[in-house]
Amino acid sequence: MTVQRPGERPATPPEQGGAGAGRGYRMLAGTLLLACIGGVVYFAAHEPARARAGADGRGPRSQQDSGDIDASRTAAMARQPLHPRRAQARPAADDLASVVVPGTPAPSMGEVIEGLHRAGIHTGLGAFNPPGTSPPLVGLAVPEDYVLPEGYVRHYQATDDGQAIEPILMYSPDYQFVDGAGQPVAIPADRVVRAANAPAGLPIRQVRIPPPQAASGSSS
Amino acid sequence: MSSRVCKTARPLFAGLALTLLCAPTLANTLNQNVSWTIDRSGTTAKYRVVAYGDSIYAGYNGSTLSAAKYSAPTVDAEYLSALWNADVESVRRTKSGAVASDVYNNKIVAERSYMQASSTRVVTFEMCGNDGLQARSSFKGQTGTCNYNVMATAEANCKTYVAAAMDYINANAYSGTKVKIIANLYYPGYNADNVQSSCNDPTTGAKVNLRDRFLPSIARMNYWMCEYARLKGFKCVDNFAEYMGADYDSNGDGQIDSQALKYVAGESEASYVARITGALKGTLRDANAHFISSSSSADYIQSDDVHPTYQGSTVTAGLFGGTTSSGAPRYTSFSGGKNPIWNLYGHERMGWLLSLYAPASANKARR
Repeated sequence: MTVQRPGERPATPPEQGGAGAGRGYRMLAGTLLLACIGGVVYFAAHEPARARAGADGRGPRSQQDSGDIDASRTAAMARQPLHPRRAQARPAADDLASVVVPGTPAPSMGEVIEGLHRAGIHTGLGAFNPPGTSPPLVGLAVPEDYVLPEGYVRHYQATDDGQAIEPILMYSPDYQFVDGAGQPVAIPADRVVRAANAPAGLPIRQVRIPPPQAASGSSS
Repeated sequence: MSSRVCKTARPLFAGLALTLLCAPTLANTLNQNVSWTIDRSGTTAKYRVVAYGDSIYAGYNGSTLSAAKYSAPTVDAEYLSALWNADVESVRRTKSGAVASDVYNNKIVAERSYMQASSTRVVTFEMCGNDGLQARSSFKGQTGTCNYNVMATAEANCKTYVAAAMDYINANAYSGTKVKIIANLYYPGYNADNVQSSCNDPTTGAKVNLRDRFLPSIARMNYWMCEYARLKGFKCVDNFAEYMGADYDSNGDGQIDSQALKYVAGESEASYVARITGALKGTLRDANAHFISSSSSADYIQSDDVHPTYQGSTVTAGLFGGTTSSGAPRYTSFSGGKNPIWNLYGHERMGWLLSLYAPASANKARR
């Protein structure tokens, strides 16, 4: 039986990953501790300011408030000229923006959702599926002037960044399809018509999903 | 598991995720506020459409930094700009991931000043989608005996805050506001939910079909959104009917599916839920393929299988703030009251539905 003395690290059982894994866990624990401390410090520093602001971040900007802020700084900044700057609106504590460090790259929404899920959080943004869960279908292009045979559908799609995708050919859910012998033909689950089964007269060409375009920002 | 997260994630993501765990309040929502003015050429008058809500009205597009420029309220503003021959400012005060109580407290109440401006002519809101999504996530994760209370809680919260929001808007919106509108819920992931649960029904002991459990809940929430609208002087945009039902008569009952699915003013909850979950259930289709005719369909749902598709560019809205700007309309006239893409994208459809309740003039009350 191994006895652990106060201050002594417990031995890592081999089945739990050995020494390398132990180092990994210690590093993770340290990182977690630092992150926790950082989070507490961050919120301790910002909660008062957030409390002073309105719930919408557009709280009162009265002279009284400005005086309070300046007074608290006076002792530490004696004889230094003060340059008033309008306080930045602080995001609410449950807003993702409140935990992102300014000047660092923003995480993608997929990363945020994955992070929340891995942390066991399935509320808020954690209740969303990540982008790409049900991606646009790729199929045969259907030119607008192509007259659809009965039982087929022209299906319109768009990318997540608002770009139109050329319509593709699909089977209608209202029809059953049979072969030359009158036997039912299985339709793909996604109802997308494959090139080998394209109706006569349709040029065989797969649509191309437009690549993501750069965010257009706040301009028109 | 945790060490794998740290190895694979970007440094910021690791920091972000860890901080998420430690933060005094869980950071799992995202404010996405936009003010976009439809700047119509040769006009000087300017009116405002104020929209409160969650990721739907936000124009969420799977980004932490941007959102659709033309989400439904802004599509509506474009219609109104032509109708009123005026500039129309689309003010979107939204929080992605917010449940109904959050939308009510932190957007509608806390940001009431936006609807109190004397230029306000339309106030609209949507909520409850995240209550439903969270209940669904919780239920999907259940093992052992199913606990249906998660859905009941979502329904109860939805009813409470929808009613409260209407009362609050009625009491606080600018007195010259011409129309107030609520938009109800479509069912995202209708096909994906057609699977068995991991938990077992407490009575039968058998697995249950997720969709069969969720559909009545959504129907009840939607009923009360439209019923409260009727009782409290709001209009109700029936997204459920317009997203989930085809724009043709697919079952030969003599009615266009999307029209047959609509809430009927004054009907009982039992009647509405029975129609949606019974007689008309066969006409419901996943909005990933909304049938605009018997030979054409449009994908109304983005790749996350949750949010509506949209047309065009994006605006800054998210981690690094929002947008206040303006631009010329995409369309300046509307044949038959519809733009050419009104039925090809989820947000276009919703925005067109909002426009149906527009007063003919910004200065006259709707009759």
